[in-house]
Amino acid sequence: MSFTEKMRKTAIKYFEAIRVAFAVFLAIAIIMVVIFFVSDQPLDVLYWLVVGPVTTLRRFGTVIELLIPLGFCGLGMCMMFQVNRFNMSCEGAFFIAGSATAILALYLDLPPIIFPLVIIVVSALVGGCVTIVPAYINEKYKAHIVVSSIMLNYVLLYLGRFLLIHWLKDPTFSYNGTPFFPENALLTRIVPGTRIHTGIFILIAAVIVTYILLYKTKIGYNMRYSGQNAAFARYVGINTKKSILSAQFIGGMLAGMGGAIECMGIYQQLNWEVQLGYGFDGMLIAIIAKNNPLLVPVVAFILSYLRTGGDLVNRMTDVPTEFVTVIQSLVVIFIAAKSLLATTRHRMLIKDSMSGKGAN
Amino acid sequence: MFSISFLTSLLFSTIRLSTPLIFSSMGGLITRKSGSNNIALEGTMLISAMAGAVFSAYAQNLFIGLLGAMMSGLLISVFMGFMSLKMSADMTLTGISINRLADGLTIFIIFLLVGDKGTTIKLPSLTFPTVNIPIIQDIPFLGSVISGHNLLTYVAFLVVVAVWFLIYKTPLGLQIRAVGESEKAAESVGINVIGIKILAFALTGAICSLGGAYMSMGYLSWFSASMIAGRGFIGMSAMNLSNARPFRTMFIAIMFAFVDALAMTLQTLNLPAEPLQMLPYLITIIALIIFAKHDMAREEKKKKELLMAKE
Repeated sequence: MSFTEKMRKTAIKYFEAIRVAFAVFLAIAIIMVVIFFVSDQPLDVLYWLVVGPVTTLRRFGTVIELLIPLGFCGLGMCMMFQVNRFNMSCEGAFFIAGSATAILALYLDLPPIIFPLVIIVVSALVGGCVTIVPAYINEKYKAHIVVSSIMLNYVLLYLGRFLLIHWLKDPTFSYNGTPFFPENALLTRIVPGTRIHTGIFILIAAVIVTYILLYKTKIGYNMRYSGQNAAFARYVGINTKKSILSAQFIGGMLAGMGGAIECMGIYQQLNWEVQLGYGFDGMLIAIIAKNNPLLVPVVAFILSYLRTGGDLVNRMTDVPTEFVTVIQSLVVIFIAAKSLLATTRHRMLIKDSMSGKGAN
Repeated sequence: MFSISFLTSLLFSTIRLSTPLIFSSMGGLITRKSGSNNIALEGTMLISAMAGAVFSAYAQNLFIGLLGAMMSGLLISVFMGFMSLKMSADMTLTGISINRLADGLTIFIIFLLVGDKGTTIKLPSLTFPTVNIPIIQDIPFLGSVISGHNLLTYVAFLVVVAVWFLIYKTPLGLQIRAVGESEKAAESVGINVIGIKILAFALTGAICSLGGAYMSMGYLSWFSASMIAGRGFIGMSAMNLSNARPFRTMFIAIMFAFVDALAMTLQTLNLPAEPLQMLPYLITIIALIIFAKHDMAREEKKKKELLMAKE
């Protein structure tokens, strides 16, 4: 077998990965061309985006810190997409979990270690209860899930702000923020010089548990089949409605956990007044990770690296960090475009079968 | 509290606030009729709101501002249509991403132009004039409610008629409906299905962009980040709730606008702002549930009638 043939066979085998890489490359290339035109220091932009995050420990720490909430929302969206529902309320679940965390942290008192765990569990339940609302009205009344979940995010945004401004806020601050949480309600920071906290271990545990749940248990099997082929799943006796709802509940729980952990680990108080955008980030992560929880931390790392780089670009050059959002959205669209590179793949398949040895 | 002046200002702001909802719902109606589900109305409006403010500020010409807004709304909408129809990307996913893209892109552009990520107050952008309708403005109560609105508000109501005419009274409208009802049947009589669908996206973009332009060149006189605040989605819900019938859509949009106006007027009475700001979104969810329930009951009834007829 010649070298080109071998190459072709590998390319066909890993075609999906190549397509994703191409989509990412295409999106970044488009934005970079734009930046070369509008920026006075395009090379600096490239430098800070690519190398910036590893220039100091503090900056690399930011990458890992950001990976934690992104990972939780990515896992949450994996659950939504596994049952084939565009439930966008991870955003709201994450946000309102912050309010739940603040209330518990300020009005409850438990010994350390147990205290954060209790807060995480309660916030997770709050998150689950939130995401189940659009999920339920979608199953029961066929109401448009994207619209209802995004409307719900707005409702939760104003609910969270109401609680913060009229109840939880410390009036001595010049901004809207709660008092700082007591020591025993915080997650320990583990790397000096950064804000990396024990939440990272909870994320790793969540990744493993979600993977086992989805791929190694009967519940997960039911969920995946209800999402892929509801008619077939019903035919073999799976209660699809229950599976679809419970998957979205768990998705919301994961997002809620993320909110609580972010609040206790990084902010150590509640001062969220706008939507944080992690819901959409989670969607991107789930799509690139092909809804596989094990790939979520990897993709979350890449996104978090890009985000940190983007923030550095914002600080060091004349280009605002929002170009990362543009790249991100384009990546999702390009990956979703099934026809992208489809002709190339088709041609490769034909060549491969024409070479006489047949496709694998 | 519930004096005449209160009622006048409430109804006046209802009409004012219904403008962006009517534009977005009419835009969404056209793609819905062509059988596509466009959830990027929000992003389309946001981008055109930004474009309107920027173009009118740099050209110092209201018409160029409007044209810029419409062209950019049209382009982003056609881009979505192209990616989802030609490149077979999932339409929901594409729509959500376009909305996010609009969030980032508008801030990116206004920062490069003005150096501010929040608003374009520094730009000398133009606004559409307000119109006083002769004769009607002198009628005591009615005059102060109906007259004195922004030009685009009146355009919005004209667009409702125009969309109704386009969809039900023109050959193009017939083609759009045919494609939406059954792609295969439409194709068999020689209609270019993808072409019509993308054309519907273009029309949607153009109409939605008027709503965007109203937000930055009428409702306010500048662009501010994420100023659409869910109005694209609320407009889309109004359209879905009426099963895409133009005049019903308009009435539902006005009802949503009334809730919005009520919330805004009550805020002036020293009540906490957040629960009131929450109200329009909450009402949208509740309306979605009520209408869906109503629709399901109607379908059940139809099914039963069919069964009865068979027997």
